[in-house]
Amino acid sequence: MTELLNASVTILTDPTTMALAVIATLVGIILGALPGISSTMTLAVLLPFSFTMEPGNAMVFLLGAFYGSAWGGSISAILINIPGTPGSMLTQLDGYPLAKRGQAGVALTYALIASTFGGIVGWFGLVIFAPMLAKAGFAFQSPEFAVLMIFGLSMLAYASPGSTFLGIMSGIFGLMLGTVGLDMITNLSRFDFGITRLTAGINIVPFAVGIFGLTEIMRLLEQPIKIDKAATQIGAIWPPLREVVRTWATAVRSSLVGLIVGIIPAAGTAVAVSMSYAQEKKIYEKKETFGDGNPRGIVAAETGNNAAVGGALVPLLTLGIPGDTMTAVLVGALLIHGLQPGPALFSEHPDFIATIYVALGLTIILTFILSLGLTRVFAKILSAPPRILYLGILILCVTGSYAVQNSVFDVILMIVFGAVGYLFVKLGIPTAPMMFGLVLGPLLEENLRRTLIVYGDWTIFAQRPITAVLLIITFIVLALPFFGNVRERLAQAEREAGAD
Amino acid sequence: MAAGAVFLILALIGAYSIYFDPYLDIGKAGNDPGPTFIPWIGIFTLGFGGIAQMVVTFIQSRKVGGFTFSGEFVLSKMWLPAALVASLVGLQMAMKPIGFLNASLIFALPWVFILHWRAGGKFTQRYLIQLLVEAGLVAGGIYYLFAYGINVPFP
Repeated sequence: MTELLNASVTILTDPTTMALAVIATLVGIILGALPGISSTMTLAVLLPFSFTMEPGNAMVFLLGAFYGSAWGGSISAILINIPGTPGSMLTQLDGYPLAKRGQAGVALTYALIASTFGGIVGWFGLVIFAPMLAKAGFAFQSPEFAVLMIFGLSMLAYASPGSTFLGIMSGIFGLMLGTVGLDMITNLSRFDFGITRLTAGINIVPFAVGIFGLTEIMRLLEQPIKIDKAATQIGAIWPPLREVVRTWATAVRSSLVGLIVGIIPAAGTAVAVSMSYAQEKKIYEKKETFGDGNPRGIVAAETGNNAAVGGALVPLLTLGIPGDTMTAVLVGALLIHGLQPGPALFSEHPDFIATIYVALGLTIILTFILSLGLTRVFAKILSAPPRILYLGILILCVTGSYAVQNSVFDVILMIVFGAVGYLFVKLGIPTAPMMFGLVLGPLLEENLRRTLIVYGDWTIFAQRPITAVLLIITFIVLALPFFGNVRERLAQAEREAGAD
Repeated sequence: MAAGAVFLILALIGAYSIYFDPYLDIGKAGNDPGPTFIPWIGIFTLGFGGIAQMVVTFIQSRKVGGFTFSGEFVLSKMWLPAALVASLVGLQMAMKPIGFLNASLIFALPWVFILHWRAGGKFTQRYLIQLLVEAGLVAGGIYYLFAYGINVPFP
């Protein structure tokens, strides 16, 4: 509590930190609102700016961009029917029909109030559950961490969109990339192909900028860039207060669903939003109005989306497992500042944890204030020519990669991973698991080998209750898609038999 | 099929690197499985997974009477992304000889025109000047932001 108070005073009274929070939130909202610019890409291109900041300011900056972009995605979803981020994909179902009726302002305000409410629930979830989970994490030793990394990798590969099998393979490739360079135990170099710079390993920033930034721009260039006309009729901003209050139950239910799903490693915002929306549609008596401008649909999607943001930070901070690609980039930011996410972060740097709490709370409030005041400006930005933005992102990809270690080699890495990401996307291979493999791979290797050195035996994993349970869950997760296939085939065979 | 082949090629490249490195075997001592343990697990999984993917795709394609073309790998779609990669490589190579800012400006000029054309823009006299200014502002702005904002020492 004292740390929280200290962090609040430090952040709120420092003009530099406050300015960083405002700039990051604004940039996050604008980039998140632009179609084709995902939250992950936003974070990846903004990450290099945080290198020279002290860790607290870096987190204020990155969380501002993270949360701002999560909300920004809803602006384009409502105004031009294209979700800026995966988390806002269901906001468009009810937001765009309202915008078409000339009530874009009302739809945006519903979304903003709901996202702020969801964000606050997510914040409370983070503040309450993170210390509890961190305490439980202190019981973890090398065997538990090794299995936890395997579990996290499997879940992340399983939950990625596209083929589960290819997702797992992509994760394995990422894991191999994580072993490039000097081995931390023997100091022997692997996969360096005689290139001295590779002995230092693959830096997470050029990698993330390549596969999330450059790859996306390459995809955009494949066909003419379409400029959808934004709903320029913003109309009135405020919906009737009574109507807003009527959606309270939806907001509470969806926030809780979003928070719980967000806490589950790898579930991510898209799953949280889908579950919140589906639940509300199931409960509401006039189901047919969902998807036709029902404000409850906007509220369900937005509260679920933003509550999941706070939830996703729980496994990241307490166990070091990123909830999705965005939090994986945040892991990179923490590592760059010499902070290893995990239970020890809570005992060794309680002030830093408090800074994260305050930064997230501040960014939620800033997003609300800035968006309410600048709704019409954001709508205008969507009509701006895309060339400036895309050119800016291209040059940021190069400059940001260089700035990590003032090295031209990192620019080459960024180009290589951009091209690899592009090839993977065209082949239908999910790229996100690669990132998870790169982040979790070194931790898995370190803990697995340390376990074998200390305990000398593989049976240790079956003897310890936590590792045994996690291994069983991992096995079930990995086996599920195959059982799904078998069941599908059996059902198909039954159908065919019936037809005969 | 191609996805499986890509994983198999990656596994073979990885196997070549690990197998022909004479120093890595020194690392195995006591209970430590050594620095090649995780890499070999990755190589075998990628290799056999790639082969499995190719076999399954081959069997499925025979059932439906041959391979279907995804339409993803066509020149009309890929020439501009390929040009982007080539120009980025050029930019990276030019950074040291002519300086980061000059290289960025030379890179930005054609790409602002290409992006303008890709977005359906017309090349009137007004745009010719405006695009030049935009390229200069974007490249110069980002350079100065990094160089003076966060003190990055550019070549």
